[in-house]
Amino acid sequence: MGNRPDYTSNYTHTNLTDTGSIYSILQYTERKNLSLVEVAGYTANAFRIIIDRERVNVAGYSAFEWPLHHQEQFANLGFQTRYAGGPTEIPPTPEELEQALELVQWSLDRGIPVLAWDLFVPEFGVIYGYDDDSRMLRCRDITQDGELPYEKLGRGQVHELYVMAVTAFTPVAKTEMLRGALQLAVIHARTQGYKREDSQYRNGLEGYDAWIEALGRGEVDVYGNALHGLYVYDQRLFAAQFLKHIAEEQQSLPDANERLVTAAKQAAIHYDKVADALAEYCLLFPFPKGGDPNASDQAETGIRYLSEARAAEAQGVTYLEEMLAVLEEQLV
Amino acid sequence: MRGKADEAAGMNEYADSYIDLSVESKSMATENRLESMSEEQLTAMATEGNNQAFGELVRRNRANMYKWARSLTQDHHVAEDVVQEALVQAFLQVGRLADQNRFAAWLARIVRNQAYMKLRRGGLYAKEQPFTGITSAGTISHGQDIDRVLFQLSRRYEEDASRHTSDPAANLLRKELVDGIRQLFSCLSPREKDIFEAHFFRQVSPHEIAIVLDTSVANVYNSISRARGKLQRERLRLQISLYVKQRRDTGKPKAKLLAPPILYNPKEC
Repeated sequence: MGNRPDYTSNYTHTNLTDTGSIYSILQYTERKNLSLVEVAGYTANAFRIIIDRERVNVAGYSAFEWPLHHQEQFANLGFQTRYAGGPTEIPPTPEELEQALELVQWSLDRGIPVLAWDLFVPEFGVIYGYDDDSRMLRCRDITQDGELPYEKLGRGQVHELYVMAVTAFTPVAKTEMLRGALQLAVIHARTQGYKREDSQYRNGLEGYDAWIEALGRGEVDVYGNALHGLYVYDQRLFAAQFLKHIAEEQQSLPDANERLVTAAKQAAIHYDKVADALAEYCLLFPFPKGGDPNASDQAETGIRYLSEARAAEAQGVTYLEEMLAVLEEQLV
Repeated sequence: MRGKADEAAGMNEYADSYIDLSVESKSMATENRLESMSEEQLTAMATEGNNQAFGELVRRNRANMYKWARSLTQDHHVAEDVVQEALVQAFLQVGRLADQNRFAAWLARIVRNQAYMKLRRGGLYAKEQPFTGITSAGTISHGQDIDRVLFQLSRRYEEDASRHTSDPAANLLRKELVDGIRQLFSCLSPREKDIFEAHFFRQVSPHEIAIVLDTSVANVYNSISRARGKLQRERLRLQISLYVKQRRDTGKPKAKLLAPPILYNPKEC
């Protein structure tokens, strides 16, 4: 635990911009009491890893069906959603833009910001205001807070439109949220996501394998490698913290289930080990310059850290499965 | 954090560099064959959409066209302009030429019309191409094909609506649509409009447009790309205007600003 750079300002900041944006949006809803750690955990974003098997390119972190996953994540928190667009790689037609604006304004009129993609950079961000006179949206992402002309929505650095708004809320018990999150996390760790088998990307434990293999071939993208080091490290810090929080919370319950508490504690220990190994990885390939991952000595060290991380995560996942089994027995 | 940006930049470049090489490989044999054909045969082919035949007709008549234009305008530069405009018109309208024996006469008439129009609208108004000047259907006296078609469509829907011959609401909607398209095209210069129309409505390759307009293929590409960009932006602007107007008409709020988000405060980044 000694050698950890603090990129999260003690769990109040995350470089995972969908987690951060969802957390921001929740502040305007019935779920404003969830901490950033809980949001990272209950959305299962803290357990995500997607890696380009060829070169560990920079696009890995966003190479998933955004609407599908964000819809699942919001649903797990009790929210229904509506969205426009997705990872299409084509700019919106005027009609599509209008539909998106309609959704954005509908949500803002009821006082809730919307999740959006590529406002100022290709990351997730939040739209929290509009003005029909100046035809400007008020937006914030991880790089900037400012105005965006209506017609630039979906025509940023990458030409694709994506906005998602929460529509209705039905309270869900925390145990139910935990079960849902564990399901998402375990599925992500064990099986390839939507259309992923046909793509160059791999997720979950296979994501680590793909990463290790690419490093072994000496063909990784320096920037993408450092970026994913930073991101997955960030995520696993939150994963470990979330599991500790769950262990404590469950323990304090009058009818605490000892098996669940033990499994959560064990899982936290293993995810802490993942974070430790990835912390070393980040120091070896610091973002954004990224060191020299294609030099054989550095690659070898990098592979060692990733192998440690993978082994610890494999253990961690078995404890997530144990937790899930307990919860499913309880709910039967 | 710009991975998709890098990827997409590559794709956009690709999408914008549309290149059609099929015409480049036109064989000498075809050219020789065309040269030996009669004007009537060539006209028949041109009216059916054979652009090489049209090119041969232009080659044969270009000098005469200039002479006619020069005699009417008494000015070298204006005459050159008239020929350019006339060629574009001829190119756009050749499919509608009924009497194949009279290509040269038809061409002369187009040159004459263009020349008169130029003389009438010389000076300050030389670049203006108002569609309101067109009054009767079917006359090919005006240069702007799209304008003409849209103007007539718009007027017909208006008339239909006023006569209550069919669903007036639907007609008004259609009229609005047509007016919208007309407004869109008004952002293009006349030449861009011609090239754009030839390229997209008649699927003529940039190479063929270049031959007809006596300019370089690169110029045509630039013009198409510029016109496409302008139209797309204009189309977006228009859609947003209509949308904002509709919001206003239905009494929706004009603006909203929520409290700033909790994360990604600029000083945090």
